[in-house]
Amino acid sequence: MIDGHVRGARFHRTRAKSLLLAFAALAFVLQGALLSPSLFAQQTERGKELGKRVKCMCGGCNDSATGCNHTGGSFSGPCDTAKGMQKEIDERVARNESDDLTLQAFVQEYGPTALIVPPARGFNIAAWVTPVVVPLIAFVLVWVVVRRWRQKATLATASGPEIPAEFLARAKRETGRDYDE
Amino acid sequence: MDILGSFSLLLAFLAAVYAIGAGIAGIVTRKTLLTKSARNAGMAVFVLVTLAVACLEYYFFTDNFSMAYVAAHSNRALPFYYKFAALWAGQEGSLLLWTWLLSTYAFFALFVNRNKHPELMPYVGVVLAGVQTFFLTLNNFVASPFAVLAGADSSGVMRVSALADGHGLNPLLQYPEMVIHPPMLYLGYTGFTIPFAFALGALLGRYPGEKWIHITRRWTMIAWCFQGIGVLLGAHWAYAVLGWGGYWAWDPVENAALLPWITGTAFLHSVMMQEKRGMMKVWNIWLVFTTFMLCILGTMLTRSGIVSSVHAFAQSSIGNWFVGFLLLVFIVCFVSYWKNRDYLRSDNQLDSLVSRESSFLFNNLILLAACFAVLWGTLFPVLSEAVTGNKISMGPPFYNKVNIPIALFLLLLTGVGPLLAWRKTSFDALKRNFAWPLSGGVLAGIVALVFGFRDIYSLICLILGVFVTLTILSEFIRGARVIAARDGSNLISAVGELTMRNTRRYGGYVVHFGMVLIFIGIAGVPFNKDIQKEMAIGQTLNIGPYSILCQNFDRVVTANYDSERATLEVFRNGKSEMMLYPERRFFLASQVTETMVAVQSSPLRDLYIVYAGRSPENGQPVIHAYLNPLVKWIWFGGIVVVLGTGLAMVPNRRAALVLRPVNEQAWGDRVAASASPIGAIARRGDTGD
Repeated sequence: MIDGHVRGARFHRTRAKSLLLAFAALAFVLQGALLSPSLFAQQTERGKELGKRVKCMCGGCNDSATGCNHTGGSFSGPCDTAKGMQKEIDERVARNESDDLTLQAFVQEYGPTALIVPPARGFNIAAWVTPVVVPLIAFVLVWVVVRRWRQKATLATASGPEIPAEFLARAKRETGRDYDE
Repeated sequence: MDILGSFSLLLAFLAAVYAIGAGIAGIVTRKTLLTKSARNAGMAVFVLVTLAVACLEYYFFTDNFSMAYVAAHSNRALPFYYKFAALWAGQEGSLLLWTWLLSTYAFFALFVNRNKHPELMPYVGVVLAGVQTFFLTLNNFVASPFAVLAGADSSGVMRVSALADGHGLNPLLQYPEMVIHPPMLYLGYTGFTIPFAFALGALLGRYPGEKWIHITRRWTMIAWCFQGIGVLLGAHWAYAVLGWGGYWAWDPVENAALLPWITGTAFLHSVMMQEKRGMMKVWNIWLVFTTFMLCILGTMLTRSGIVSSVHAFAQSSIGNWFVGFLLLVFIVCFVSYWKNRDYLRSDNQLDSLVSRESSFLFNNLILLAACFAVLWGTLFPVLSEAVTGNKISMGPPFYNKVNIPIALFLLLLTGVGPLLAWRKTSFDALKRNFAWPLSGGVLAGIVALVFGFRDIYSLICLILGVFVTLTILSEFIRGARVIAARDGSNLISAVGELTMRNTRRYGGYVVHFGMVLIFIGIAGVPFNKDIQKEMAIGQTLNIGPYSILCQNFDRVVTANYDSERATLEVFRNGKSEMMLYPERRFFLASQVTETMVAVQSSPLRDLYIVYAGRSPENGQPVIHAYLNPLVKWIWFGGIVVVLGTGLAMVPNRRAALVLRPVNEQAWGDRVAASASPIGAIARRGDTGD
């Protein structure tokens, strides 16, 4: 009886151990699949787009976090830094944080260089405004100069002898162009 | 032999300094002997620098690893053609290449004009020698390629030592294009020194008229063409080697190469205003000055590492030298301009805003706006750091936002400009000339919309591309019809005849067509697709119409590298189409791994496969496939641009008939007796270049 009880207890202990091991193995597999940063984890479109606006801060490439290819490294794909940044973006997207807040978090961590392009704030406004304003000013200046030229200009006849009207008419017919305007 | 290279470089430096001194003395004293002596010294620089280059190449080919530069950039197993290209693999060799190409240009410019333009050439010689002196100073005293490895022996005496093998060439440079890409780019950078020297020389010597422009037209086109080839080869190298699926990343060094090409393009257009109408003289002089200064800036950005770039192969304090030289060049240019500005007065003024002249003016403004935007984006991080103390990044989105509208407007002007007449164009002529090219463009846009083309910039690019192509075609056909009707020839031979009569104009149109092809190729970017997947043998990856089956992974071992190679079979609609073999090479000397991309290119799309390596997580091989539409159009467009430039440099077949000065009365009589009025029209200056 005692023996039978002991055997039964052993059986239950062994079974419990087996179940525990199976559970641990399952948890390990699930943890591997669900928790570790998988290389090609499915990212949301928003996450990908945000990743394109953040620079990979590994220091070895000039790519974005989404586009990191890490040429010259042991693996031509996202490096650990880029993967970590992309993971952080995904987590913030999952928490429904705003784009600005997500980007600001990277600026706080790495400085303004973390953004692929500078935000239009403070001195950086100059980065965006100048390439538009300077050519516009140039256009206006040229316009003014050209108007002045035109006011001064007197339409002189072209050098060379007078060309007979019938030749001009024929040239117009043959080439489809005006030469006498 | 060991000291021959450094000795010849030192002699070259002394010859260049002598060429400056003797040249200035010759100009001041007007002694022909001195100016001839200066010219000969300038030409001797080429011989001496060539000797230095030959010495360095000899060290590479003989594996002389006691030379620091050879040890750093070569190894015994390196194939011979890469040993040749290793000359420009590092800072010192690249600067030597700059000097050598510059001295080659200078030699030919001085030699070809040795008996011509006696008032101008001494000034040109001094300017060329000045630029050479700067680079020879760097070669001799700042970044000598002839430094030897040395170490102290047991008694403390320094002795030359040699490595058993070198560190090898940067694997990124071990690609066929790298043998020709840097020399092409440097031929562009250095080539712009010739028009600069002639422009500055003409200004200093107050050389009359537009002669300096006529003299330098071909030199400028050669430099412009090489610069363009260099930029495109660089883009192709980035596409084929870096393995990121793109060809242009707005990297500071890429931008630096593009800048002088843009201002050179502006100059090649605006110079026609000066030739035809005697206008824009100040503008042209400053365009040449700016182009040259941008060449120096580009070299500085590449060589100094002042801005963060994957292409900046060097980090050094050499930038200070370049900044000093740039300042000096600017001061010389500005003072020369200020003292001689009355020499640059325009002969004519703009008659109408709707004219060929104004289209050139706006074309120039647009090109300079593009140049400014790129330069601003490239240097703004440096400026921002200086002002705010914060480093910032200027990535591709900035350049795309600013430059795409500018580029599209430029494309529009490419079509509009040639259809406008010199001086003034009537509204009727505008309607007649633009009707069918514009209709064709709009029709192409509608068709593209129907077929689901939804990206707005690409759509505009397509419409404008068709518009420009039709304007070019209409120009060829209209001219050829006149010749065909008069000579009784067929239209095809008439097109040939027309082209050869005015190679500059029609070569220019071919260049425009090449640019259209490049623009259309770029318009494919928004439709790029890519997918990355872990692939075991037997697994399949799908992208676009292709199915890619992984057949095998194997190893290839050579003396220079070990390679892991994927064998992929590509299916389309279930039918096997091709085999592709992307690789990852591990270079033994430098201990660096690089990708070798496999590309299946067609006019419609590129299938671009990268073997990314084994996943760091689970060791599975990873394949990254890209589907890039229309990329081939870019490379083909580049070839068309080169062919067009070549055509524009060919002398006109009947140039004598147009250019020969004639007695006006006799000419008038001939016109009256002529069967065709075209010659008369041409004589009035409306040749329409």
